[in-house]
Amino acid sequence: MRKIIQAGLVLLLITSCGGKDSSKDVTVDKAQKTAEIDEIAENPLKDCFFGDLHLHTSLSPDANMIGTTALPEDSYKFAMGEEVTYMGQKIKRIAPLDFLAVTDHSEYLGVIAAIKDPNGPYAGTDRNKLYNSKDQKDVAKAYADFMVGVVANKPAPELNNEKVIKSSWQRIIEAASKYNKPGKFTTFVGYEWTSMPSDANKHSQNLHRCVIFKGEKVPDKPFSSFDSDDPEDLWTYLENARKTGDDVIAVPHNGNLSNGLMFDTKTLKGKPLTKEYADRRMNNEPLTEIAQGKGQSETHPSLSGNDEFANYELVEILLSSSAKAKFQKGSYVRQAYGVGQELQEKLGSNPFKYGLEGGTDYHSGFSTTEENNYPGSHASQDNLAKDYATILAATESIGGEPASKLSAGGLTGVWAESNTRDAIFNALKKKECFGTSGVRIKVRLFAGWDYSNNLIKQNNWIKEAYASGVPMGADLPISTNSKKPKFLVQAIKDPNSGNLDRIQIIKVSTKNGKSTEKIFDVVWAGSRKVDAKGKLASVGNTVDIKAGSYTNTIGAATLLGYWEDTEFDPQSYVTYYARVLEIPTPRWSTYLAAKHNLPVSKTVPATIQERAWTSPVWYTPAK
Amino acid sequence: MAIKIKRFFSEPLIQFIILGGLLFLFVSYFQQKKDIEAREITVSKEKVNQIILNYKTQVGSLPSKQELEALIDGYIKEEISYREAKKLGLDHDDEIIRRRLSQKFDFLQTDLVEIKEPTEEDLLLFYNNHKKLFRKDATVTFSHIYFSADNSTAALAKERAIIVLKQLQNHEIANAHEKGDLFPLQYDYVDQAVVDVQQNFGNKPIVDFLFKEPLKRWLGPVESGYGWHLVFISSRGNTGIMPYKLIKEEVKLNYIDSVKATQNKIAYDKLAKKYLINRSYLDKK
Repeated sequence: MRKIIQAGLVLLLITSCGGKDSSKDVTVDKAQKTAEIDEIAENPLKDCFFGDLHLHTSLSPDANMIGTTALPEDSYKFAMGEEVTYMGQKIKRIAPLDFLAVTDHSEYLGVIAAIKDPNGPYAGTDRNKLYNSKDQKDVAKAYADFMVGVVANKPAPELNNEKVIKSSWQRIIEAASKYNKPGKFTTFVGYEWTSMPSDANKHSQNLHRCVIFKGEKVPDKPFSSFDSDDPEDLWTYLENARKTGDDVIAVPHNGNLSNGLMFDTKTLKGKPLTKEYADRRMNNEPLTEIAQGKGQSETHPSLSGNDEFANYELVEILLSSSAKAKFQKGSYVRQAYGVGQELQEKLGSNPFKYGLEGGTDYHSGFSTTEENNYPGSHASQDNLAKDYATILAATESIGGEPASKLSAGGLTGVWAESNTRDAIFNALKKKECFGTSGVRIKVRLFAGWDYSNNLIKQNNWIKEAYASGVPMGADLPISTNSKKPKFLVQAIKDPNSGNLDRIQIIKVSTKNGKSTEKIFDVVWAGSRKVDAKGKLASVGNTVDIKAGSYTNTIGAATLLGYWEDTEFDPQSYVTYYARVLEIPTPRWSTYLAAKHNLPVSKTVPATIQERAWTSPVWYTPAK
Repeated sequence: MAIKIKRFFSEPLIQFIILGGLLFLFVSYFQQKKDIEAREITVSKEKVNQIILNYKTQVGSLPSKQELEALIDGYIKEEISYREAKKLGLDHDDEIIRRRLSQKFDFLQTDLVEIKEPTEEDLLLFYNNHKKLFRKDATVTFSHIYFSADNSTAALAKERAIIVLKQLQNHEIANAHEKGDLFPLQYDYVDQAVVDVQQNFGNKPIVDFLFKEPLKRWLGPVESGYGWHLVFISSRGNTGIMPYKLIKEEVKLNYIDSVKATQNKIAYDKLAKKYLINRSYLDKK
């Protein structure tokens, strides 16, 4: 009798689960973990947590092709501070991260790993042999085989293996579930939607977005650019996912490599933007990535001629191409803030009201953002332990920028009540977060109508700042009288990095369809003076390039300042954000050259001023 | 004649042939019926609903009429080639199918037995027998006074710290931090693991200092990533086992995992006992 019941049960299971992978059900009881959240202390004035929302493992086909072997589990371990092996070397972060999202490409998710697997679904096939071959000709053949569908954005049916994609997705969910430790370390289930429509010359234009879920109640398959390369279709997927499961956001990145498409004034289908489009865009993607391994997207020196710090970590060659990206319009965030306001004047909504975050986009599986502890980020393509001499000497690489141009960064800083999924995701949605070039500068920005210069002298200034104003990511409330907006900014240095040079506020204002940008130095280290032209003297430079070292004898450990916008025009739309600069320190390529007693790379600067960019505060005129 | 015929039918051989013939007719009738059924594919309403649901969960929207027709055609095509493949015996000795079936069976076999809610005694017993699972990191609880080099130099900050240290004379006093500079984070830190101190103060001498130096007196100056500090270490929690009361939920999760693993093992062992395994590769020639 028992056997019959058991057999019946088996049948019942077969019909009810339709052959789904076991993994799905395992995650259910892990939801109990969330019960722990109740006991976690909350700081209403918020603490700063650092993490990476953009990282690839060997489940990403391209990462796997270049020799990455790490899986999401390894990524989480490394981020939490454990030692791991990468390209045969032991690596370990100096300071662990507080949160991480693994964001593998959804196109062919996990398929290359499955093809190579000697016990996998492709075992014994020709592809299995080809993809595992070490022969350079075969490697090229395998890469070409894989790229056909990617370039055409039409998946090869034999590679677009739904079962593999779904089970890889489950693997990502399980790893996030396993390493999420409320109060200590937060993980997010995520992936990257890799849309790159071609231009007339067949150059790929980067419209990629990372998708970050709040919890584990997610669709059973990620939406890919094979489904559609139009962001509006991705938003539909997000809206549906929200209806049936957990909240979710998308984060666009690398406007710098979008060929002007990222912040275009028309839709991908070529239609003019509408209020509905603007609202949908902002509901689905509140943040954009200001800096990452493939450069910063804040601004370009030729767009911001008056910004002496604009020439920073520029990456300008389109992905898998040798063509320089067009950037005069639609590529950089600062310009988009103005364009967004111009559209807002016409439409009533701003489609580019983006908060800021930072990520690595590394394809190694490891978030190695520390400049003096950077082992490379793209497996066989920039194995610094082995190929350091070639990489330091290289001025170009086939089909893209040389490896020396990749940045050791960036990171996302979040102001949240506690280190939990709820608190951090909510902060991301509210844009109370910022991006950095990879360092852990803690920066606060508040704006209000009634702050005074004395406030920052009080011990409880943060509490007051929240009570009578708004933090980064928010709108200045409508002004009822003719007051000017006031700002409070604070930066605390990364205790493992250089001292601070200065905090600036960058103002982008728009009136009658015309936008202007202006930079104000608000507070700086030392007793430097501003000259007649309004320029603050340089902080100096302690870097010994040959030794690959610097000293913190210049700059400050903390900066705290008050600023009033005396030029404020209540009839203009305004975006205000803060930028913090460190003193000059050696770039990773300079540390590497010093370590091996080689000349520094001529392709990149020897020293850099690392930085943080806050999400803005916005002002909208009363109509 | 009639007798002849009767005799003829009473011959055992003839009887056998007739019976055999009847049986043949009977079997071939049913075989034919089965063949027809095997060539019949019913696309039921339930099946279509399932197709729609699958599409919706994958794509997020309902399929259009055309898309649905294509999906149904796809299902029919799959079903036909599946049946034909089975007829040809393609499912035999196929490694992928073997593995998939084995995985599916394993899945169905796993966690079949419902685990009853553990009692307090169950959990305590498990906790006591598996204390290694509940080890905690070494921690330190301390207060500090900060001496900033901002607007001066590190040497001057350190000098100021030495002067304040003399004044304090090893007393724990309220608001001691006021004798130093404003520190933008906290003055008092509770139960900080090595990782926490590294995160908050940098990978600097202060980390080792806090985990080595004597308790309950003002010490320093010691350097962090921000400047110089005097520190008062009030207690250290050594690596030890977390108290049961604080981690009851965690104990429960571990307990359930462990019971599941044991039960799955028992179930497999039971099954394995029904098989005789000949390890012929071990045979000596």
